[in-house]
Amino acid sequence: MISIEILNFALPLLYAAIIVVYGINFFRKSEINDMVSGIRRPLLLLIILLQAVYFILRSIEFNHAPITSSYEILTLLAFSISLSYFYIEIKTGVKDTGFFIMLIAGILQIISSLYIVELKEINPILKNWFLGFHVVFVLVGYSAITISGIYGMLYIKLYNDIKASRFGAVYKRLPSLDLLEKMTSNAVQFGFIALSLTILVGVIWLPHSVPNFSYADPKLITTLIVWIIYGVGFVSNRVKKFQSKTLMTMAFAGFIVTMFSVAIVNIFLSSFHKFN
Amino acid sequence: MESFRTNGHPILFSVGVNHTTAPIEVREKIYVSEKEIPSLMEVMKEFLAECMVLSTCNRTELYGVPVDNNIEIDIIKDKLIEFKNAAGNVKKEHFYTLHAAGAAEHLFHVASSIDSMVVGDSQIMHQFKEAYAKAQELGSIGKILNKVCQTALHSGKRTKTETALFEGAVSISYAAVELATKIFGDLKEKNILILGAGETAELTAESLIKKRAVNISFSNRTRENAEDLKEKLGVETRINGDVLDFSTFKEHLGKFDIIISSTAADNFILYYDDFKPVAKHRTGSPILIIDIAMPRDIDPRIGKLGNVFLKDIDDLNAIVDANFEKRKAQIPIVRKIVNDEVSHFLSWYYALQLVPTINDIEDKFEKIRVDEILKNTNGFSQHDREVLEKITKGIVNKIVRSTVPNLNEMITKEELPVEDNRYNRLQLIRRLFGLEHKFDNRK
Repeated sequence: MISIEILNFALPLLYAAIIVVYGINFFRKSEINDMVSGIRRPLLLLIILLQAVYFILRSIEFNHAPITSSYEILTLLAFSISLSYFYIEIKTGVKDTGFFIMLIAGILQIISSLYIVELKEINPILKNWFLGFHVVFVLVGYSAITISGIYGMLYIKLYNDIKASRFGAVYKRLPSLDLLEKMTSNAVQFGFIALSLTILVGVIWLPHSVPNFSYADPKLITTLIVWIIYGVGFVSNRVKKFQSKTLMTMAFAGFIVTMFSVAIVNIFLSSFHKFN
Repeated sequence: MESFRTNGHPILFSVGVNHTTAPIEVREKIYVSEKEIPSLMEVMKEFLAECMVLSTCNRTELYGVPVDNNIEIDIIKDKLIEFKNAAGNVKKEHFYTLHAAGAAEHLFHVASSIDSMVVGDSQIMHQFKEAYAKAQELGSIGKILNKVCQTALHSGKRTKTETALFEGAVSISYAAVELATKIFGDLKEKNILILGAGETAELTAESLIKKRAVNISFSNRTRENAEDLKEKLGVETRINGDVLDFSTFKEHLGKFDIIISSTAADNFILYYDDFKPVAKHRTGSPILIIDIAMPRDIDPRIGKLGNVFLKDIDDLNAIVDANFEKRKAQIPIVRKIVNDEVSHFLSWYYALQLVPTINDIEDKFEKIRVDEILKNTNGFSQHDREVLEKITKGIVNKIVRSTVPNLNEMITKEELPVEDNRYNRLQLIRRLFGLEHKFDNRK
């Protein structure tokens, strides 16, 4: 129990540290950057490993997978984003976008660590194995949406800077528009496929398992809207009918819509989809 | 007449003409081509035990060690001027002269590219390596030049890995290519059209080729010039593009990702209405148009179209200026690296210079010992003489050996940055041990 509390306290601090380290790398004060550049990747790896340990400890301690509350989902999402980014950084060698990605992951972890509590009663539906698939697909989908949104935003920023002949830090540090577009497009494809599987599993499983199931549920509707946005992006990317900037704008818009809808639905609206 | 300031030991020097001492009209007269270097080395053999020639468009410099320290430096300058038959244009006043630490420091600045006309010009590193290799091939590299060149190369490598001195374009043509790679990443698959066939077009095309571009088409009002340029550039690299008639190039605009224009036309060669349909039908990645002509070739309203980046000379200058400022900010860091490396070299160099002084001290003490024994041992037996010989030799050896580490410490420790410190210290040591007369004679 103490270990869980320590990790719950340490993780936001470590996320804050990695945001600072990636921030120094992006806004580059050369001497400080030289000092911290060597710890960047080991620190990210440490966070991922500690967070994995944190989930294992929570699962053992509370005897269920850590998917029972929004705050457990947030820390899982932070983990999933960090893991995805770690893979992208190793695969592409691009490290100058880490600040933006880890900023989102860090915010999610900080919110989670501040508010996470163990539920007194666990809804039996949360112990259904079908839910495991559903949550894994959601996490992959939302991580991909986050990454595509951020890379889409960076693409738009760099595009506008080049268009306006602003050749400052953003121009110098960000990777090429082409690479940002490829990373966004890959993330959109992952996001769309994962979201499709999430919906498919949900449609098969939920009507039989939840007594007050409704297709008019706000959570289902917003998920469907996000799915349509990403579907258009996915198809457009395949048929090459849009300009790159339009696709990047859609990726960013999809991310914003997703974040707002998830927040609004979870905070203000009632839904059968709240199991806690 | 200036001669080598030395205490009798081999001394490193550098003489030359560069962009800080002489204008281009002088530099071009004294430029030594690669094929001329062996003949020049033959001429210099009489005066120089070691020699390396570094000749580029910005400098012709000789680094060497004289065969004899009584040689006047002006002879080297005269011989070089004579070799190039440049007496009418090149004067001795156009040359700089540097010795020992000054020469080493200059070479390190050159190798680290902070002495270049364009600071951070990475080409000089390549040119320096070639000059060193050529001198090695001709057998004119000895112990001192080898050490100074190796350390200077190390200094250059450190500059490359530890600083941002070489980052960012500092010429218009390279800035254009840097912009293209910032948009498209790899240029290998991109279709490029170059309008114009002048020097700017050629430089830009060369920079594009260095970035792996192969699909390059050309169009020029005089078609033959475009064909010649394509042929010239295609000598070393395969170019897949076409040569388009200037009257019809607008019909092909849709297939290009990058258009670079540098014609000498008096008016725009591409208007908004020409390009609007092209931009409208373009999906996917943007199109980049770079107008490096003066007066401009491209209607600036084209830049307002979506998915089109239009950049002119002012935009590219903004990139160059920003990069240049960034490079200038790196100079203090590079100087620190150079100082480290120069100190490292000087420790080795003056250790080399210290050896003869230590030998002189040993000789002097030995002479005192022998003189004193001869003066005072007339009545000694053979056995006593042998014992005395052994004891006094031991005493002299111990005195000399006890001073050597301190002398080394005074001369070779790396914390001493200034040449004169070491040189004056060496001079002081010689005076302390009463060796100054030897120094004067040798000078």
